Amino acid sequence: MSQSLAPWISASVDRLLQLRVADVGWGYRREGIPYSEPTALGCLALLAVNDQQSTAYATEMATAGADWLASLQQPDGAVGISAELSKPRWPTAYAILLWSQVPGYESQRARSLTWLQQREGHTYPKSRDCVLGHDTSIPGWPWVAGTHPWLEPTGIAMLALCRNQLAGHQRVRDGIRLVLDRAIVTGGWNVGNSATFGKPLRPQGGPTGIALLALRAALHEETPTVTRGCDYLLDILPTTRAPETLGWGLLGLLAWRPRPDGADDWLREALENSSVLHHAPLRLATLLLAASCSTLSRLGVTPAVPHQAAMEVLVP
Amino acid sequence: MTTAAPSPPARNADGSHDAPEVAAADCQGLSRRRWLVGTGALALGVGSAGWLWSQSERFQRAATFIGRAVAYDASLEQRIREGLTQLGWGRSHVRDKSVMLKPNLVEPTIEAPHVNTHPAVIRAVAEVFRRWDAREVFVAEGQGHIRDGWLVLEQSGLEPVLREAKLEFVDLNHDDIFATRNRLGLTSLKELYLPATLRRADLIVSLPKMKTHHWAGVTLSMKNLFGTMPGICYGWPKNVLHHCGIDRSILDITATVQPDLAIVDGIIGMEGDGPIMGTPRHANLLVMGNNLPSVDATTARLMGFVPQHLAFLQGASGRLGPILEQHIQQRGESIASCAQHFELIDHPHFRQFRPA
Repeated sequence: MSQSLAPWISASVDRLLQLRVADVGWGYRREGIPYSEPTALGCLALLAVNDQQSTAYATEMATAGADWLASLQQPDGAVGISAELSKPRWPTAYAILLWSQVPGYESQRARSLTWLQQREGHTYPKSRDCVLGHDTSIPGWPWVAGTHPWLEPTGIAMLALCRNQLAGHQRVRDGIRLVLDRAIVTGGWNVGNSATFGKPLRPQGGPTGIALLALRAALHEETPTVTRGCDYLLDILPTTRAPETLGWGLLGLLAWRPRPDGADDWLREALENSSVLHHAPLRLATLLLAASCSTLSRLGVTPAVPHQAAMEVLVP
Repeated sequence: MTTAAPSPPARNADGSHDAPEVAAADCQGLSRRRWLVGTGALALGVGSAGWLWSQSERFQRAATFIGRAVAYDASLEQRIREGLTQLGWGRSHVRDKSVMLKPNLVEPTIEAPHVNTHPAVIRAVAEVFRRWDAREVFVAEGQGHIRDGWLVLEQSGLEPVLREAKLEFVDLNHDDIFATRNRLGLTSLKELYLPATLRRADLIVSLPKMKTHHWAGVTLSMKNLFGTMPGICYGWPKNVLHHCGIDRSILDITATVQPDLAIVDGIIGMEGDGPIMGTPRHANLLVMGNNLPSVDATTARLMGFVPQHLAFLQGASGRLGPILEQHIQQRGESIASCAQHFELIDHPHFRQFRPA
């Protein structure tokens, strides 16, 4: 690894490389088989870090991952969770995000985008006696075919579409409605349940970050819902070293706010906590994405507030 | 799961039995009157036998232990060991085994520790099995409402306990996956996708919290097994299981995962809008047993529910274990001496769980 990267970044990249399996990508666990989502995010993380300090292997490995995902693509354009499991197919949006970064996958990307635009969760009119807080009729993306749309698959699908110049698409417009509707009144988002039996549920940092990223990618203007989400993240991010929470939460916050003081320390502490990352390439990749200054642009997100995007990836 | 049940007869997917076929040739030579009387008697006999079979819960029997415990302190290990010993557990059952503890960490938050199985209970159970020479003890969860497994450990207070006790934690939501036949088949799911870690365990112990649940009535050792279903296959929340019917899914998963033991953390439980938004209830109880439906039925009684009014327990009756009080041998404290009334929120939806 290059000497010019900050040591904690360099060590994390090395660890991510050590966890690579089958010469194609990453699994959810050390020594596991490769899975679509960690492979896509692992490749994206290498590319993002590579923007700071170019290496030969980053592009090579990203291409290998993109190739492998292409080998999983089904005739209708969808991508399953692994070579063994062709369903569920929610990782398709992650594959699109990677194929959007690596030249040579235009046809695969186009087919997956078509599939993603047609993919819709199970919705139904909200009855008067419905105990759920959200509008059950708004279309979005599900984790599994035939089930209700939820926050994370909707947010990532919106990112994938917006990254490919489809921010004005009706599905993205519906996605904005869904994300706003699922916001928790006290600020932030969780998996997609805003309230039950009239009581607001608890927000979480990871889904809040994804929601804010998706809204910004879709060119949504700042509204009180966005403001409350940012305030929630500013409140909780200093207190957690949980990788997905910190990683997605920070990326979502950076889409709307200047980089908070201390963010590098939070990331470094999380990355240096070997027990957190021992088996988990996905966690490592998410933190590296949050640590890289180019991730937002790679995801197709223009920060709402111009800020010093360069994080402490490079040694000053 | 251990039950002293005879092999049940072939069963339809809905749990009913096909009537025995009577060959037409056997009826030849009988007068119409005698044939009708005979057929009626046979039908009555079959019907009575079926009723008796059902009422006897197919002769399935189990034992549960109820123990009092007023605090999450060092005395827990001894209380749990006593209970397990009374249920017949000991070193000979555990030696050299790999033991997986499955707590309920569905959506932990520091603000509401009564949402999740208390770390002290997890540690105490682990120590019991370690002292009985288990080859390994580890903790595993695939929480339904939070994707970030580390956040779960942070918010539940479990992380420092695991570190101090040198207990491994496995994130079942992000594991390698294997498919297996749905052993009961009450839902439309032909196969269940399970985390590979389940195969590592010789003994699976469900460690639920004693809580009300707004969809199932209560969430105990059987519902806790939703956390063995990997999120990468079922989502967050595990909406596939909701679409398939929560009660039927509970039964299918219990039958397929086949846990060996349940220990319910009822020291501080949850009443009202469970499983995550309810209020703490100091019940001061531990409930344990080998048969999960029996443990859940006993615990439901302790919470002031009639198990037959809870669809998943009614569905388990005679299939996965006994739920009727007369078929469950009670050890430790009696139900009558410990029974309480866990409140439900005042909403028409909840009346199904506690009919007037």
